[in-house]
Amino acid sequence: MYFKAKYCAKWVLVKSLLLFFMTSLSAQEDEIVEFNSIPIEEVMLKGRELPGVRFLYTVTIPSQSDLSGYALSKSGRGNIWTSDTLNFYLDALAIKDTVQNTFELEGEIQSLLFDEKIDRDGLQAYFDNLVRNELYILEAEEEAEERIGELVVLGNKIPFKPYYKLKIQVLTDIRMIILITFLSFFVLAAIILVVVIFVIKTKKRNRDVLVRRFKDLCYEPLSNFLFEHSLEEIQQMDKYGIVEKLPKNLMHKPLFKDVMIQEIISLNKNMKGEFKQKLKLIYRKLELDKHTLQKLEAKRWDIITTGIVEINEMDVVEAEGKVMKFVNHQNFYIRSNAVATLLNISNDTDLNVLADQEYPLSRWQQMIYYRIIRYTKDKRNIGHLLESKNQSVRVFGIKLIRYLGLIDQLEKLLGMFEIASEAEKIEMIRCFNLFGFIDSLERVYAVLKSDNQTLVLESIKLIENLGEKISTTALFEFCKLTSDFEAKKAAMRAIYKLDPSIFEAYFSESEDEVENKINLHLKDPVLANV
Amino acid sequence: MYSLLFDIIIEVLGILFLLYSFFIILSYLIITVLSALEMRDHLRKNKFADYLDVVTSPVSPSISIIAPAYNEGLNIVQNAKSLMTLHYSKFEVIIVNDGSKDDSVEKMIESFDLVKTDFAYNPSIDTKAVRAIYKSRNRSFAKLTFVDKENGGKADALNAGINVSTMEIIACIDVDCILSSDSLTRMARPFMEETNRKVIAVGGVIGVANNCEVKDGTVTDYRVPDTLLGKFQVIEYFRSFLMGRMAWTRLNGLMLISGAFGFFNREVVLKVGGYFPQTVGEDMELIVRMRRYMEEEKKPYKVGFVPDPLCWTEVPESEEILSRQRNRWMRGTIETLQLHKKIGYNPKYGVLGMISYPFWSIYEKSAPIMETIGVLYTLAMIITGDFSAIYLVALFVLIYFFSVLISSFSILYEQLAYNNYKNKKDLRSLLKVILIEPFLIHPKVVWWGLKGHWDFLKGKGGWGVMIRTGFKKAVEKQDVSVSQN
Repeated sequence: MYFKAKYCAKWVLVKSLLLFFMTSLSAQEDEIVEFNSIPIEEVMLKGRELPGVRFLYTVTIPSQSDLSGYALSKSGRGNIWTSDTLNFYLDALAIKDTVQNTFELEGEIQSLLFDEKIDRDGLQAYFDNLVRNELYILEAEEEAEERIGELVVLGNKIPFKPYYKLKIQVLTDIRMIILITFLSFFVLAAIILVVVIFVIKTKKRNRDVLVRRFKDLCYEPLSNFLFEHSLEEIQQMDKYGIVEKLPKNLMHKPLFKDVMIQEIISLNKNMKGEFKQKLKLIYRKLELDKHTLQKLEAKRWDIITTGIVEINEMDVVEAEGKVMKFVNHQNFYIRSNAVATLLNISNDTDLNVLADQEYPLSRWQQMIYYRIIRYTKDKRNIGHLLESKNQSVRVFGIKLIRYLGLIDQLEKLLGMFEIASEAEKIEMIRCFNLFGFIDSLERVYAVLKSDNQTLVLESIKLIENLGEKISTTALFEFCKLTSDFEAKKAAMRAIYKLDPSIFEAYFSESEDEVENKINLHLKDPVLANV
Repeated sequence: MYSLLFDIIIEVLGILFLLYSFFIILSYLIITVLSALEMRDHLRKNKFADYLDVVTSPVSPSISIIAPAYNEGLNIVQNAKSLMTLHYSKFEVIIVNDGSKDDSVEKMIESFDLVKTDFAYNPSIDTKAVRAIYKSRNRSFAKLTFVDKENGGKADALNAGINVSTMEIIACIDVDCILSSDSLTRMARPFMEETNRKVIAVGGVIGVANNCEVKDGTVTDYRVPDTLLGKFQVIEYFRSFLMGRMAWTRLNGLMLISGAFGFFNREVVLKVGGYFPQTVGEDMELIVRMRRYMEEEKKPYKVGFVPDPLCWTEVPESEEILSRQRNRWMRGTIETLQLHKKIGYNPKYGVLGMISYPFWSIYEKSAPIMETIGVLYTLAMIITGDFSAIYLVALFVLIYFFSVLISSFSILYEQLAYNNYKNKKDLRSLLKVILIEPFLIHPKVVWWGLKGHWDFLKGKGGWGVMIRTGFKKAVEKQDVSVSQN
């Protein structure tokens, strides 16, 4: 089995080489390269070894002579004697000469290529290919001959391309250069990314561990202050008296201060009355307010915002001036929290900080500011917001009038109605509608001609709520002219509510498909209830 | 002569492949950095957000949740109930039955005491016929509207839902998705925060729910799926959502919001004519058309993305279903790019035309073709013997380690940002998948992508000649829809 496999492998190798030589030969045909063939005998007679080529001497003798003394062995049943496979042609020639001189027998030297018999032409073609493909270098052998005895000669005798040639080929291959460049770039970028991520992850893990530890260390002393000491006792303590009860060696660490502030703020949110005062007092006594104010000098927006939030939560009123410079900051979070803080800690009854906003107010900001203003509405002059140059602030002002039920501002709104923008008009109409401000009705009819769908829908709602039977005339006119489904539906609903008899007379027999659909919709009891 | 030409082609192709690989690597490295910056900013912003306010504030926008359902009788009632319990004040739930052949309608009627109404249906977007619109007699279910219509596909069902909706924002979700109770408040935030630009759409992350423990409609215990394909999709979703879409959000170049969980400005959706039912990539197509509309109208806008884990869905773990899904995704991508080829490489469309479109066109759409040609090229080189072993090994090492690096980063992002998969065994298992994915799964994904290309060429998916020409303007979709129907 083993021999069979070995034979197969050899066969594949030989065939592959032959295929290689043949394709090489055919490829060579296309190229105009001059090649001078050297007769194989010249090389063999010089005693050179050819890679893959071996020789075998065979002789047949008529008598029972013993040729074993001549490096020959008997093979087969006949009187055929053969030599071992020999690497050098000259060795085979020497045996041949000896046998010829002794027994006067010719014999035959056979050439083997990878242990397969090959004729002279085949051997010559093989040799030519070796030379052509620089797998056999004649010059190297000749130079080596001139330096017999030197170690380098042995190296030169190896009939392969020298390494430096490969190196040159690698460097001249453009694809290889590009690939190596990419690889280097990629490896560099990957290393940088891995290092950055590793550093961040390690820092985060360490920070999380420390924060957990610091929280545990803060919790007990803070609880003791809250439940075992009165407000007066804490007032009488100085900084060192309080620090005594806390881990002193950590008090200078910024992270510990941050954790401490966060714990105080967290407790402050959940506590009431005297407890809140105690927490704020501890915050001040420990001079954590200084740490908070330092954050306003930071370059990172989130640190500045954290500082502003802390000022807000701990009512650091003396920081008002410092926070003021952030109210029109380009960063949304800094700006939003700065305004929210000033609304909380300053005595700005006219809400100037809001009225003077340069950036448009987002809904998110409006939500936050509304939450703050809601609890202090009696002290605030919301009307001042209506005079702002910023349209979004004016719109917010009108919303506040609606949310906070400031009926006294309705006359002012009505006065502004004609010159107001569409966004303001929408909010004004909602206000008038909510508070049933009947004086607004006359102004609103004109709005029905607007192209703004929301404005029209809000006007129809107001007419529906505050209008009279006479209002249906305007709504009928509107229904005739509009092609907007939603607006028509709203107008029909209003007519149905204001004067059902007119609605029936006009729409119950309508040939218009849309009007029929809406008619059925309005009369559906389930839809009327949900 | 022949030999010379062959050599030139081989050289040029080799260099082109190298450049293609280089730009892929460069793009993904940039995406990695951009997504890291965006994620960092998002986590920092989250520290200053109080979501409880959003639930009750009168300033918060109103939301219509639209969930199309086809043969979902098994879970439709449970899912509708789950949607109605979300923490938000101003919202409605519209379930659209897209001509189901099972007992979905009967179950809904029975469970919610629904009755057929004379609802004045306004087909502002053309859809298949609506059979009936139901409302509940029980006031507890006042938020629910159930639309029963003829089968017309997901996009058509969504369009019917949009026609019925009345709120400012529409949330299009798959009815089988599990939504976190605070999903509406968190998704509403980008709509509320923007000051100078109109937020036209906001996308969310889809989590893999297979094998996870779900309690009261929320995933309480994260576990990776048992199958190789399931685990692969966990990593793929990390890569796609936490890296890809975060990076595109930073550039305001997001072109795709998952159809399973996307929020849209209703006004803009109506302006562009809603979803396009003739494409299988309706989610991507809508976003591209909305963006195109805003660009053509020269209105400042933004497409937002919320990376918080808010929505979970079961992913297909069978090869057959997954292959169909990938085939569909590929066709959807090709169709969308084909429809909107006008914007490609057109500076008039800003980031959309000059960055997003070319990226999708070169890397997402053409990737399977390029990879296949690359493999064939390599094989040809090996056969002809004109190939350096060093080169082959170097190229292979580069691509393999790059793939491993990107996938590892996506897991790291998840760990740094949310750390939901706490079990070390799960993490080890995901890391093993990363190592074998390039050999075992990626070739299949490429094959499925190629089949998508082939199916597109065959016209699978109901494409007509007219659609292949693309729209001249974003709003022209409405005319195309009408003519197709």
